[in-house]
Order: sequence, then structure tokens, then C-alpha cells
Amino acid sequence: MFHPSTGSDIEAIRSAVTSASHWLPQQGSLKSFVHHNTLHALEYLPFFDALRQAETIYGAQGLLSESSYRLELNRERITWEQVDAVLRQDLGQACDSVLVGTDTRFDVRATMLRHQIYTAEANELNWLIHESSAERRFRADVDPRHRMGLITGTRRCFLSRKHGLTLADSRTSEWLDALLSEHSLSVRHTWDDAAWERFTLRLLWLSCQAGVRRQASDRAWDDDTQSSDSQPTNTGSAPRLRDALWTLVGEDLDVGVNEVLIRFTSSFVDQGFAHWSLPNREEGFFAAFLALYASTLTPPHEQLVGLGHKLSQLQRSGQSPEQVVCEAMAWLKIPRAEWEHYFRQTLLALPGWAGMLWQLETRPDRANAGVPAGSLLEFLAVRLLLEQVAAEQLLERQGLTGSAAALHAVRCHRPIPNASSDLELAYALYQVAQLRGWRPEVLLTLSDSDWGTVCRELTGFDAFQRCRIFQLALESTYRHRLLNGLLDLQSVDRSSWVEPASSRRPSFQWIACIDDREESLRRHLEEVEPDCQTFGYAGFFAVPMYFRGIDESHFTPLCPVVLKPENHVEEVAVDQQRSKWASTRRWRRWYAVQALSVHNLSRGLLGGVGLAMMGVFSTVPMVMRVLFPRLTSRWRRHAISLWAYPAETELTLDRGPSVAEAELALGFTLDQQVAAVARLLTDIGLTRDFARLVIVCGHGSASLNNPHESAYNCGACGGGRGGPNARAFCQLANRPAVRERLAEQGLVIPADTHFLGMFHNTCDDDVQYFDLEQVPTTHLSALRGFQETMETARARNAQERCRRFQSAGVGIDPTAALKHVQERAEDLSQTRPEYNHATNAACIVGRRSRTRGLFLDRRAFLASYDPTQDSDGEILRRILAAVVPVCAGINLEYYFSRVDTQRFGCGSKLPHNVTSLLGVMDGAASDLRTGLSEQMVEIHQPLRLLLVVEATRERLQDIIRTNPQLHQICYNHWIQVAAWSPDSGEIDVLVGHEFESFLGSAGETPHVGSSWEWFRGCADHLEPVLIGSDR
Amino acid sequence: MIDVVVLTVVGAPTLWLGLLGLLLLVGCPIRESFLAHGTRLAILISLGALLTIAVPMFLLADWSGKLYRVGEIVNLPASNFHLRLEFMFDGLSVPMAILTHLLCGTIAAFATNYLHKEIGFQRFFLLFAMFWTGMTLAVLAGSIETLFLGWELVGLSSALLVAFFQDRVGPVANGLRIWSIYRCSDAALLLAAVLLHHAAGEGEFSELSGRAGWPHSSGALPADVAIGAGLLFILAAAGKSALWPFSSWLPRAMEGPTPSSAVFYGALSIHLGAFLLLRISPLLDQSQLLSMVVVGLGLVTTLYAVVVGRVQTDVKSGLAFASLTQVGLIVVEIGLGFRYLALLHILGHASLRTLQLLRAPSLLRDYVELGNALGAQVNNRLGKDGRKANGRWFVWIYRFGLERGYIDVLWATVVLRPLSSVLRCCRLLESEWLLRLNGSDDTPTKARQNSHGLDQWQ
Repeated sequence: MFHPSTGSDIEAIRSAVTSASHWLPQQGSLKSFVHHNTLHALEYLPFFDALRQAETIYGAQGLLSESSYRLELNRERITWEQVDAVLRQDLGQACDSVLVGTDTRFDVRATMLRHQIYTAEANELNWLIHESSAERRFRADVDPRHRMGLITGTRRCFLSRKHGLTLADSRTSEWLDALLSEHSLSVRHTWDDAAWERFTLRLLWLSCQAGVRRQASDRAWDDDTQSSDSQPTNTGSAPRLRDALWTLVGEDLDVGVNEVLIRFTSSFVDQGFAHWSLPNREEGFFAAFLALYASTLTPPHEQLVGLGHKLSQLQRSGQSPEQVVCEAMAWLKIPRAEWEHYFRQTLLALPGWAGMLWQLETRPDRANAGVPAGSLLEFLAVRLLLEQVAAEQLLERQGLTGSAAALHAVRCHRPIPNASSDLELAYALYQVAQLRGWRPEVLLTLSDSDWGTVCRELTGFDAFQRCRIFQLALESTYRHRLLNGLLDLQSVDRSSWVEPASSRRPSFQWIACIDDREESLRRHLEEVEPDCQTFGYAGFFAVPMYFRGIDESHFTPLCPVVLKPENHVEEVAVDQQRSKWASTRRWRRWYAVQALSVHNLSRGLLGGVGLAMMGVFSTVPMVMRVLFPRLTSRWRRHAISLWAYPAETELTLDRGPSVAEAELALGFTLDQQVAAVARLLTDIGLTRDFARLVIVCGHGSASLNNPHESAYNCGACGGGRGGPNARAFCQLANRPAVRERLAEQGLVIPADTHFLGMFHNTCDDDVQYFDLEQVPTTHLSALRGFQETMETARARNAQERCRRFQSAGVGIDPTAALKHVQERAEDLSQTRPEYNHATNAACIVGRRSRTRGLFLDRRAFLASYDPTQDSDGEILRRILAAVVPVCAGINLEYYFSRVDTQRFGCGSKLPHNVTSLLGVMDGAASDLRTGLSEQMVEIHQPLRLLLVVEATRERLQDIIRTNPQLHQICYNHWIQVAAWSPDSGEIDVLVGHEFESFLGSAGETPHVGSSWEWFRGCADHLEPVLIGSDR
Repeated sequence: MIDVVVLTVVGAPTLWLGLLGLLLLVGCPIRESFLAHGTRLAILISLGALLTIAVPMFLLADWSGKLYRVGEIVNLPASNFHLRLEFMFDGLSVPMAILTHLLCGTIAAFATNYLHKEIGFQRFFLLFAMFWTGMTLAVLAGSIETLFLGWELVGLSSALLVAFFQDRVGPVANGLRIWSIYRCSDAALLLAAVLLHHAAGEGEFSELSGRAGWPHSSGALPADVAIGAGLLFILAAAGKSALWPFSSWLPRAMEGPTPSSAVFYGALSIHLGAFLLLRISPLLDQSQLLSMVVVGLGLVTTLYAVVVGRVQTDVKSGLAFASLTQVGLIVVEIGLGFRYLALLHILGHASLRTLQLLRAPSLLRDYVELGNALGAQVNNRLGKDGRKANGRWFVWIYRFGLERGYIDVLWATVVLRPLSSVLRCCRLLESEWLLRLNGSDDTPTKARQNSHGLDQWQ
């Protein structure tokens, strides 16, 4: 049964694999973690449609559960006013169309949101109705008025001989007569209230069931009209062989197939952990697999008996992986149009590993050992092969033998449509009827088409839709609070408290990354020293480079992932210290060799014996590190400082004449240097009124025992640490030659302005200054002043962070807080060294003077931009093009990891196991886990990023329209967009494709004296307040 | 006085376990800090009491065993039979008990932070208390009954800790697999206990070593009993220490949270089998055959673990098989008669491996730092290009390692499948019987459906 595959088949397979690969996670090695939208493949769809799609493709939920939203309502993170407002807006014109009696669609939906509508499987529902009090008592949360109205209405109606209702059809009157004859009129006269309640509810339940039945018989012709409403249909949905066999036979083929593939793939992509490398690895995935397993007699898994035989046949026939795939498709009788779909579903059985192969294949530069092109296709071929072997064996065992007929039956198998939906619908109706006080006599007289409308309303407003409304209300609540805060801030007279008096020169200017974690540090600096100014710019500070630190072995790119740096920069020891450094380096090298051999010996045979004999001594560091992490690390640092890198180093920033290798462009040309400095200063609007001291601060994070450590670093540095960029920028900006050229361009930096680089560790709030020896003596007092301010500010920053940590205690003071965060960073057992971007929610692009004094709770990315210096909007265009994708990527990764931590995120950190030096698995054999862990996102509030741009709506609209990437994420509402007019101060929000005015309620934002007053004793998210007012 | 001390050593864990179990049973909400402090306090109390015994022993270098009887459960003087809790404090048990307390204390402190906010925090500490109690009882046991009690607690808590993340399929399935293997070893231990009782009327270990005390032997048992019991003991030890051919459970134990993994294959649980062999080592002295079996088992395990460990790509499996290599060697040492060496080896290895396992999540960072110091990326591979080793034999060995010696698949096809088909037959018969007794006539279809359900369950 050899099917010769044509060239076009092969081409089709290749392109289908490429397009299927877009659905795989885009996460590369954990060594450099880059945040990106988890659902990047669906960005072409509007946000909520994409969530629906994701549900069918990934089986993951895109919204929180209804109960979680109710929890948010209880905590007042969602307000009912917002829920109602969102609901009204969502329904639009249809808001007031009447459904039953006087109840409108809005009423019904609002009721369904306010009260949890219980639902369950048919069996459970039957039990609930007959065994619990559901048919005898009203729901506890029914309004007493409705309850009394229902009971008295029913009593009035059924206490006379004739009920006098004009019933819609004969079947209704049949069951109604039967019910009435069960309880004769004379008996009814003797009933008390409880008996009437029972009767009313029974009647209600029966009418709801009858209504659903009537509507169901109508549905046949009604179907085409309603299908387009919400559920996107999935075209070409051939079930995977595994799914079909699972429903048919009840055995899971994936168990064996996954087990073998996980083992093999992790060996194939291993970056150097295992001591033996996979034989024949260099010949590619497929060939290596064949070579390894072709001669095996024992199958690698009990489901895969006969694998060796099959593989040796293949080896003899010399088929290519494409041919194998082609043949598998022929065997499964899958038409070419459905290939891509089938490949996608097959690859998504192990999305992490498949995605990693694709990453290594397409970005070999990012890994130690890349894999040859076409590896994903070969992986797919092997997977299909394994599935075929397992299926054939299974069918044989079941006596079905892999005949075409059996397979066809498998292929055509479709899951049985949900038979319980009618009962579920009736029960939902029953509850809504109680809550809305719909009287049975009204329901009994409804026409068929009315029933159709009511039922459609209820089915249409399913759990997803309800959660969607809650999600919109959650976002809307935060949006209102933030935008109101901004509006209130501009109406307050702030000149007396936070701004430096305009006549005076600022005491210093501090430029940090736009990162949400730097927001609090900026705020505290401003609170401690009101005469300072702060700015935000993407943390690579316009100096994209490959950088190699003095103690590093490789160049790493320090710039956003979308950029490819042209320049290499190296940190070297200054001349006087070079010889000393060379000897230290020898020592370090010797030490590393020893450490590595200890590490490896302990895993080996005889070395292990020797080490184990001395192993008792390892109890000392173990006990110390676990019980006294901070102390131990301090001793360790003292010890290491013996061979620490030299105190004085310099960066190779100038392009020397002696560059031998053409591709390794060491340093920048003068033009590049000038361009970089000019770019940053004009972008943030710092072109005049320079302070004597301008500090540029990069950031990063260092924590122990944390495989995801690089995810905590600077996103604008591609998961690296931004210190070198800050340092390089300052050195460039201090150069007379650069300043001269800048002055020619009209950007005059005063001679007495000195730029100083520094680094902020966001985990332990440590700071480090670069090139202090180059600070002119005239600036030393200014420097000392700044450093003192910084010491206070960073301690307060630590204090603000500690309010999120349960173990820090509520009333912790700044000094103790600093100690606490230092301990966290050094603690082996700490799974939450810091909360990273977990609080991100907004991004504000504009002048700091317009946000200064607003408590933003570390929730906003703050990019500086001065619209008054940007007449044609070019600056804004490039700022948004750089800032929005990065921030949206971070925000959406957090969003999805939070709403479904198991499928979009990587689950709990606790069972993680570093594998192949690339990623983490759960336990010993699982899929590679991508996304963020539960411990990282647990406090995150899933909000789409609220982008506020200080620009007119026309200008913003124009920029969004012309940039394809922005166009897609803004108009599909993957982020929320607001334009904040630089002149009038009015705010417009993007709704659909147009901006609408934001109508805030001014004057609601509270005023407090300092940040501390507001956050003390509170662990929850805090709303924006105005700080520093005189009240 | 000394009885009070002994009671404190074994009573502290037992009471703490009982208290926790009771509180959780009645559904009392327990604060994290209470659990953390309580566990630490209990371990400190027990350790303190232990040291009051240990320090004089070390100072006087008096390693002769002291036997303490705590409770008499069954006493039948007529047939010369009794069953009681007995604890032995000698040169073997005291160092092991100190190690147990030290590691359990450290790991409890570690887990307090590590599992903070975890939904199963209470469950973890309950199981941890059970594990610690089991280890203490087993290590200090003076008779085989006491050992069995501890042995069971360790087994139960281990299996449950592996299945800690009970909402996922993998951990639960692996926990069950471990449990099934543990049951085999438990059965062997129980049989050995019965055999000993038959032969000697009691299960005290002093019976094995006579008056001389561990590790000397006086050959108190008849030769055939000694060999029979010895083989059963070896079987029990092999199951518990994941010796070949039971090694397949070892990587599966990684499903639990890191601290519990560290306790298992890193430190305590995996050495318990070796400890048992040490404890019964007087038996080994008596019989050349038993010693040879032990040496052989150790060698095979070591070779197996070395080969398998070479190809592991994830850090926890790598460490697991590294542990197994050393345990194999320890077993060889025991078989060869180097008792004190083996004891030292156990103590050192357990400490070292625990530290390595606790640090395992730092692997990426460590490798980057080492790479920076070396001036090149760390690569453990043999040969620069990997081209050297593509020979047929290498492929064969590599596959052997990657498939973990095919133990799993053989276990599944040779042991589990026949066993489950026998069980399925029984079930089929039973349901047919029942239906026939009920007088129903649609027997065959129903029965088939049942058996189908069983298939699914497997």
C-alpha cells in the first residue's frame, strides 16, 4: 500500500506544517524569557471571538469562571453600576424589547447576572428537582414581593372552577387538566400557603418544561436564523484518530505515544545536560528516531508493539518524512483541505515540545544547540507513525483489524449532541421565572414564537456571555477609576506640592524603564525629593547592542526582540587592572572547572562515592541556606569578592580602527552615538531645562532557585538586565564630541550636566551605580544628595512591595522591608521572590507632569512623551510602535496565564523540573510547560491593557490606522485605547473603530498625604488617589 | 529517666501526627504558621531527646545496643510468642535517627515557604508528619514488628505525597504504581517477620546478632530459616530502595513537590532498604549465598543506574539515577561486609543529594554562571561533535538507557497484563454468577459491558 506522493503533496505538507506551527506556543529557552501574547495566532480576530475559538482549539477558557467574577464583585473590584452600564451598552437598541410581561431583555439578563443560575448534567438536575426542595420551595434569593405575587396570582387563578386561560395548544391543556384533576377544587380550597407554594412551583416547572418542548419542536426551522449569533463553527473538523478511538474503544493512544515522544524529543533538543548525546542526532529528528528504534525488539511502550518492525521497513524503503506524513494522511483518508487542521490538532497533543522544536528550528541563534530546519515536520511524521502503530495494534486487539471500513467508522464518528440541553434550559427558565416573578398563567398563554424568543434569550446568554459581561465590567470599573483619577488630577492645583517650582532648576532628573515596577520607585523619589523630575523610556535606552560583561562568556542581545542589534559592546578592565583581572579570571576558571566536575562526579559512579563520603559536610550549607538565607548569602558574597571582577571597567563604545572581524562590529560610530542620545532625549521630551545630574537607571532581577528568573528581567532588553544599556547611554551622552554634534542639531546639553548610569534590582531593591569615579568633583554634593534620596525611596519602595507578601507582616517599616525583600531574593525555598508584572493593567504615554501625584499602585507602564514638542506626530508614532507591542505582550501573557493557569500558563511551580536546559516539565515526563506559573499570576487581575495616550483623538486614530500591528490589536480590542487631549484635557475612549467621549464623574478620587498613608495595612489592589494634597 | 527520653524521641512525632490527623479529620482550619512552627517544635523536641542518648554514646564510644520496650501488644507465654514495640539505640540506629531528624527538620522549614498558599498545604504537612514518624519508628525499631509499622507509614505517605497533585492524572497514576511496588516489598517483609516468629518466637533484631550487638553476629538462627528470611528481607529492601528490577518507580516519584522529592529518592526513603539490609546484616554474615545475592543485586543496580543516568536530560531524573548509583554501591558494600563504610556512605550521600535536589531549580542559572567562568557554554557531552559515538553498540546502550532498561514495559506486559486478565476473568465469573443467581437472562452482554468498564479503568 505504498502511495507515491507527488511534489505538490510534499509542498502542501510543508506549508500546512508551517501554518499549523502558528498555533504553538512561541516561548523559547527559559534562559531568555520574552513575554508575548499567548493567543498571537488569533490576533486577527476580535478579542472575544478569539476567546471562543481558543476554547474549541485549545480546550482552554479565555475568561475567569463565573464564581471568580462574583468574588471580584464582593471585593468591589467590579461595581453593579458598571455591570448594568456594560449590559446596556452591549444590548444597545435591543435593551428594551419586551420578552415576558413587562420584562425586557435587559431585565432578564441583569437578573441572570445578579443571581447565579445553577446548571448541571441531566442526571444531577433530575436528582436536584426531585430530591431537593427545588420543586417545593422558592429559591432563597427570590424577592419576597415576586414570591407573594406568584402565589396569590396562582391562587386567584385556580380557585375558581374555570381558570379562564386561553391556552396556546392542546397538549398544554391536557397536562394542565391532568394536574388540576390531581388536586380537586375542594381540596384546593383547604390549602395553606405552603401547599399553594408547592402547587405554584410545580405548575411553573411544568410550564417551563412544556415551553421548552414547544420551542424545541419549532427549532427545526428556526435553526438557520440563530446559528450565526455567537458560536463560531469549526470548519473541517475531522476528529483526531486518538479522539475517535477514545470515544469508541476507551483507550488513550496518546499515553504511549506521548511517553515515547517526550523522552526522545527531550534528548533530541538537549542543550548539554545529558552526558551522552543522542546517536545520529545530526542527521535530523526522523533519521535519528529510525536509527534508534528500528532494531528494537522490545517496544518502548506496551501500546507500541510492532514499532521496530514498522521502522525497519521504513528504513529499507528509504521514505522521506514528507512521504510518511502523506501516507498517514492517505491511510486516514483525510482530504488535503483538512491537512492543516489535522496537523494542528496532532501537534497540539504536545504543544510545548512541538513549539520548542519550532523555536529552535526558526531561531537557532537564540539557543546553544539549534535543530535543523524541518524538524517540526519530522516530529509530526514520527508522531503520526507512532499513532498509526498504536492504533493498528489496538484495532487488532479489539478484533477490528485495521480495515478501511473500521477506520472509516472511526473517522466519521462524531460526539453525540448533548441530549440534556433541553432539561438544562427548562431548569434555567424555571429559576429565571421565579426570580423575575413570571406567573404560570402568563407563561401558559405565551405563543410558540414568544417561547422561541425567551428560550433563545436564555441559551444565547450562556456562561460565556455572562462572563464576558463581567469581564467588560471589571475592565470598565478599573478604567473609570483610573481615568477619573487622571481627570481629577488635572483639576487640582498641584503647584504647591509635587512639582518642582518651574523657576528653579530640578535637583536631578531620573530616567527609568517604562516598567510598571518602576512606577512606585519613581513616585517615592518624587515624594522624597519634590524638586526632582522623572522620565520613562523603554529600558534599552535607545542603545541596542550585543553585550558581553567582563565576567560573561557570550554576547547577549540587550534590546527588544523585534530589533536586531548591529553593534557589539564589551566590558573590559581598565588598563591598570588588566593584569590583576587576568589572574582572577584564571582563578575563576579553575574554580568553575572544579565546581562542574564536582557537579558531574556526584552524578557518576566512583566520584560519587568519594563525594558521598564527605557528603555529611553538605548538611552545613544546606541547613544554613534554608534557615538563614540572608546571612549565608552575605558570607558567600564576601568569599566571592576575593575573585570578584575588578572595580574599574570600561565599555568598548567607540568603533576602533583595529576591528578585524567584519561581522563583529565592536562599538558605535559617532553618528550612531549621536543618534542614540538624540533619540532618547527627544522621545521623552528632555531637550531643555537639564538638571546638573541626570541619572539613567536600567533594571533587572536576580533570584535563587527560579527557572523563570529571566522572565523577571527587563522586557525591553529581551529578558536581559538593562544596567549596561543605562551605563552605555550615559557614557555616550557625556562625550563632548557627541554633545557638540547634538548642539549642531539644536539639542543643547549644558556643560554642567552630568549623566550617571545606575542599575535597579527589582527583586531585592538593591541599586548599583556605574562609573562613579568619572563624576566631576563639582557634582559630588549633588550626587550625595541623590544617593540619600535614593536610599529612602528604595526602602519605601520595598515597603510598598511588602504589602503584597503575607510573610512580611502588615505594619513593616521601610528598613525591615528592605531586609525582607533581600531575604526573599536569596531564599532557596522562596517561590515568589517578587511579583513581577503581576499588577500590570495600564500604560500611560504622556508627560509625567500630568500623572505626577497620582497613586498608580505599580499598575501602569509609564512612557514619557511630550506632545508639545511633537508637531507632526512622528515621535508618538515611533514610541507607540515600540511600546505597545511590548506592553500588550506582557499584559496578554499575564491575562491568559491567569484565566487558565493549567492550559495557558505553566501550572504550579512546585512540581517543575528543569529539562534539556530549555524549559520545565511537571514531574519526570510531561509536556514542556509554557507561560507563567500560578505563583507568578495569582494576584493578577486579568484586565486588558488600558493604553492612555496624551494626544488628540485624530492623531491617535491616524497612527493606529497606518501601523498594521497597532491596527490589529487596537481595533480587535486586544487592548483598550484612550486618547487624552493635551490641550483640553478631555479623554476619549476607543469603542469599535471610533473614539467616544469618556464621561467621568469628577471629584470622586480621594486625597491622601503620602503613598504610605494609602497603602499601609492593605494587601489588595488599590484605586488611584491624589497624593500630597494639603486637603 | 531513660524511658522518658525514649518516649519523647518516638512520642513527639507520633503525637504530632495524631494531633494533625485529628484536627484535619474534624475539619478544623489550621493556619500555615501553626503547622510550620508545630512541625519544627516537634522535630526539635524529638531531636533534643535523641541527642541526650547520642552524646554519651559518642563520648564513651559505646556502640552496644540498648533495647527499650514500650508496649506489649500480644503476649502468649504458652506458645512463647509476643508482639511488642521495641526500640533499639545502637551505633546503627542513632546516626540514622539523627540524620532523619536533621533532614526532616530542614525540609520542613524549606516546605513552609515553598508551599506557602498552596491548596494542599495542610495535607502536605500531615503526610510529612506521617513520613517522619514512619522513618523514626523504622530506624529505631528493635524488632521486626516495630520496623514494619514504620515501614508501612513511610510507604503510605510516600505514595500519597507522589500523588500530591491529585487533580492531575499523571501524579495519581504514578502514586498508584509506586504503591503497587511497595506492596510487593511489604508483603516480603511481612512474610519474613512471620518466618522469624516461627523460628525464634519473636522478632527482635538482637535475636539475629546475639549478645554481641550490631554488627556482629552469633548465628542464632537455623541455616534454612536464615536463608529464607534473608531472601525475603532482600526482596523487601529491593522494593523500597528501587534496586533492580524495581527501579522503575524512582523517576515517577518526581511528580510530587520538590521538597518531598528531596526526601524520597534523595535522602531517606530510598536508603531505607539499605538500612534494612544493614540491620539484618548478621544474617548475611551467616550465609555466603545471601551475601552474594546482595552484592550481585547492588552491582546490577549500579550498572543499570549508571547507564540510565547518562542519558537523562532533566535534572530531577539525572539526580534520581545518580542516587540509585550510590545506593547500589552501598548495597554492594553491605554485601561485602563493610558495614561502617556503608553507614557513612548513607549519611553522606543522603545529605549531599538533598542539598542538590533542593537546589535543582537553580540549574539554568548555575550553568550560565559556570559557563561564564569557563568562557564557554557548559556541555556535559562526551566528544565535541557527538559523531564519535554512533556505533551499533552505542545505539543499543543508549536506547537501553533512554527506555530505562525496558523495566516499565516488561513490568506492564509480563506482570500487570496477565495479572489484570486473571482479575478480569474473576470479575467476569463473579458477575455472571451473580446475574445467574438473580435469575437474569441477559448475562453475557452485561458482563461484557462490565469488563469493558474495567478496561477503561486501567
